[in-house]
Amino acid sequence: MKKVTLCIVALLFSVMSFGQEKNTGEEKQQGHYNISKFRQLKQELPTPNVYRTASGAPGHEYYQQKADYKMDIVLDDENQRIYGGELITYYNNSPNDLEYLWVQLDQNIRAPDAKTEDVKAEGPAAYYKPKKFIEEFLGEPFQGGFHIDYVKNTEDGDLSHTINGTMMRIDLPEPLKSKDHISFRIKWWYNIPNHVVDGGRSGFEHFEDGNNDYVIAQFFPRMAVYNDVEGWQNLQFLGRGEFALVFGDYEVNITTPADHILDGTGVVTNRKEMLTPIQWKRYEQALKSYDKPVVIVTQEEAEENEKEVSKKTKIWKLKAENVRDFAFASSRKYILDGQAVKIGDRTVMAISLYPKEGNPLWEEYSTRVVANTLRSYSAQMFDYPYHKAISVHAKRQGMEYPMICFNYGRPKPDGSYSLRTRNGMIGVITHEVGHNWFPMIVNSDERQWGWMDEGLNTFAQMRAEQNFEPGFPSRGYPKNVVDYMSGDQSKITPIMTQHDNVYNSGANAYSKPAAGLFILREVVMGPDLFDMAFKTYAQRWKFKHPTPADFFRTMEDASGTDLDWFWRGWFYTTDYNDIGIKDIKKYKVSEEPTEKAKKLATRYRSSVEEVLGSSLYLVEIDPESSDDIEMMASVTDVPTLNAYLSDNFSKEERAAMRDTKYFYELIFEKPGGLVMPILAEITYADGSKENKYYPAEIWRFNDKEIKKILGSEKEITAIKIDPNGLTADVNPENNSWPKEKQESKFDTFKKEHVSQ
Amino acid sequence: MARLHNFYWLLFIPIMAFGLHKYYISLTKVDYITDKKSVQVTLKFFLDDIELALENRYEQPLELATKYENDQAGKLLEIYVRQKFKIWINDKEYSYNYLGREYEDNEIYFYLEIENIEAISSIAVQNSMLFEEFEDQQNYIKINVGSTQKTFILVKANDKEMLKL
Repeated sequence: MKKVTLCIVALLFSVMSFGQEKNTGEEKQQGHYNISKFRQLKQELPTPNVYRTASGAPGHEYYQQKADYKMDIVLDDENQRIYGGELITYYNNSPNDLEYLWVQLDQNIRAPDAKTEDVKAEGPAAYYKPKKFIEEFLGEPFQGGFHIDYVKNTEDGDLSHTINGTMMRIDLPEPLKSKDHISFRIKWWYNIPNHVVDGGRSGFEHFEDGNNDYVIAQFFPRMAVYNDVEGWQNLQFLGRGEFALVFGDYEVNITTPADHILDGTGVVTNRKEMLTPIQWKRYEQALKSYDKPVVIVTQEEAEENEKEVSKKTKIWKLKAENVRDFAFASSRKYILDGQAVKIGDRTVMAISLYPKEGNPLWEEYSTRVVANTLRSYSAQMFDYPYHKAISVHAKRQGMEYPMICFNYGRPKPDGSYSLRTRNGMIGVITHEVGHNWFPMIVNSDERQWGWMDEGLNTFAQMRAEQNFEPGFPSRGYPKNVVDYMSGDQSKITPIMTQHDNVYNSGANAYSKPAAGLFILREVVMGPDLFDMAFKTYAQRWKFKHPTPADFFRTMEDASGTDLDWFWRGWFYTTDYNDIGIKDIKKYKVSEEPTEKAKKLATRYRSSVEEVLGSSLYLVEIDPESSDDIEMMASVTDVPTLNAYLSDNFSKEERAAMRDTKYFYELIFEKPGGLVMPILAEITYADGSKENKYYPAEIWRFNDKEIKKILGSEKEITAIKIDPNGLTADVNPENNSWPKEKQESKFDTFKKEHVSQ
Repeated sequence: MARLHNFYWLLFIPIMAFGLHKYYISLTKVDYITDKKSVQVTLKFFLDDIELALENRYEQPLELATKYENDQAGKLLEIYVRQKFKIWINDKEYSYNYLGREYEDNEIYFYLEIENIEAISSIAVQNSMLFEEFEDQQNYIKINVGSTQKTFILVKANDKEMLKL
């Protein structure tokens, strides 16, 4: 035992002095900071505090603000306008007094003086729709944006306010004390944009029959978030970076034409009055129908309804608790169906609203996809806490709100639809219903980080889609981001970039983070550790405001896995993964001390015999000589080893030992900047295969090339790195030994399809 | 006018896509195989993007990669590629052999070849595929000639690049 220790000490010395010798070149090398890819993220992550702990959980003084809304809204179908009045009660749960409040005016993105267009650096568009062309070059732009009639306190006195683009500051006569609350009223109106013509996340679609389909959101002045990380989150809304919103309770009365069907966030408290008796009966049936949707407002009824325009109005009453936003959809064209979904011991309603133009696709899939998403996401994160989830048909939309989302998927006028349309619709409904978890409940700051909701949601979406239909063409697998990650570095930003400033949002905020989580689950951590940690994050932060650090820390804290290297590489850099098998060297067992051993003994100033005694040595077989006979010999042919075995082990014990005949040194190279576990598939001479897994930490001391010694009973004939494409390796050409002459896709295709 | 109308609404998809999971990217490999004296071109696009573009261009359903695939699909794809993808070698535009296309998952590959190229001093590629559909479409071009490798990103405002050797 002592000798072993000596050997190690000697080895260390030799390594150290070797390092020094190597460095005595002409120019002396400079020192550097810690550049290990495994150094902890101390400098990137904020210092833990009483609000957010080092474990990634909310701290003992964690707080969040609350905003309650009482609103009266009028939907003016004749002029496509919204008129609104609201009473906001804002609770300052922070330890700080606030001199002013910030309110979000998202519709101002459509105001004629909005900065949204000014900050776009673009030449001429490929095409201009005449209406758009006239708006841009000839006539008046669309008169969008909020018209604020007043901001008043509860005593009817005016409150001083200043509008800065999509944000409005309300100056308070007295600071709002910590733990105190304030109520104030805002009255406004705005022209609803046609989202089909002008784009955007909400608005109306105009149909040739004269009717409109309203999908309404960002329709009221909403409180900005004030918290311990951003102060007031009052970054302008430019169009991409979505929303940061506070939780609160809503009571909303919405006046619509009397012939409209409406649904939205929260419980419709007067639904019975709003439906005909037969429709109400069907609604009650739907509440008990767990296996399939029940049509509540039929296509026949909807077609009859949309023929005439009622001059009367009616008021829909909605009430929602603990939601971060409110949205609704309304039209006289709507068909309505729903079914019951068992979530834990509760029943949740899956609901769809669609005009006849959505059929036959919508009646077949929408509500079923909602139900599947509720079940799959509940299993992955936590049980869906609200009472319903609605999917609304809206041309070319894909946008999420609490309990309601707007989704595309329109068949052609003759009712036929392509597979692409069908799959696109199933994907988008899954995605947008899934957003109820991220960010509606696990309420991250979308204005700052697109990936925290889009990436996590795209990841969860993959499993929901596979659950709905095995083999569904989900995106977000590692192979889906290879092209993006190997692309031009000048057009790639790290995931940890504010959402308005990323080049390629779809890859950067959706696919790449989703693929990263896939790699963590399937390659780095394994499903058990990953799933528990991912759930822990979701459950710790549901109905709260998490930051990236809270996610990174929780994933490590709950799984006992150091992932700082992964966050650093995948989230903080634009590095890509490229690992290869560079070479394999064959070795044989010998009793003859190698040069390496002799050197070691010399360094210890002694003879080999004295230091190393009767030892065994692995000697490289000269690849030129291909000395197969020597290599095939059993290790027991080595007298020293054979004697030791006979002296120390019984015959049975010896028989149970592995008959290791082959010794290999595997040399892996890593041209890529990311560190990643090595997945190596080894093929033996008898055709059998074995998968070797070397954790990412194998790259700690050499980021470019590492070696691994391997003893085997069978001869290795081939090695393949990442054979199943699980690590987004961008270069397959160095993944095989012996070097496979990679037949290009081009050559394969030409061989198979073109007769010479 | 009907056709233009169809075109127009498609322009807005990229704006809507912020709420979705889409991005617009393609990859074209241009390899000069010295011993075969051949320039091999492999284009890879998202199948749904190509299908959308062609269905609106030719106003008929294509149902690519399904058993209902339009009989004309192969012909229309070739016409589209020939209109949108052009290549110049040594400052001369070459017409190429269109070997065909194949599908893999949600991707479509096109294979093009120019034979009998003795030597290359410059190579220029124009790839404006999908620019008429998607504002933020990026067509990556990776050129390999001998030991020289170069990647270009083509966008609508700049749909052609040249590599001088």
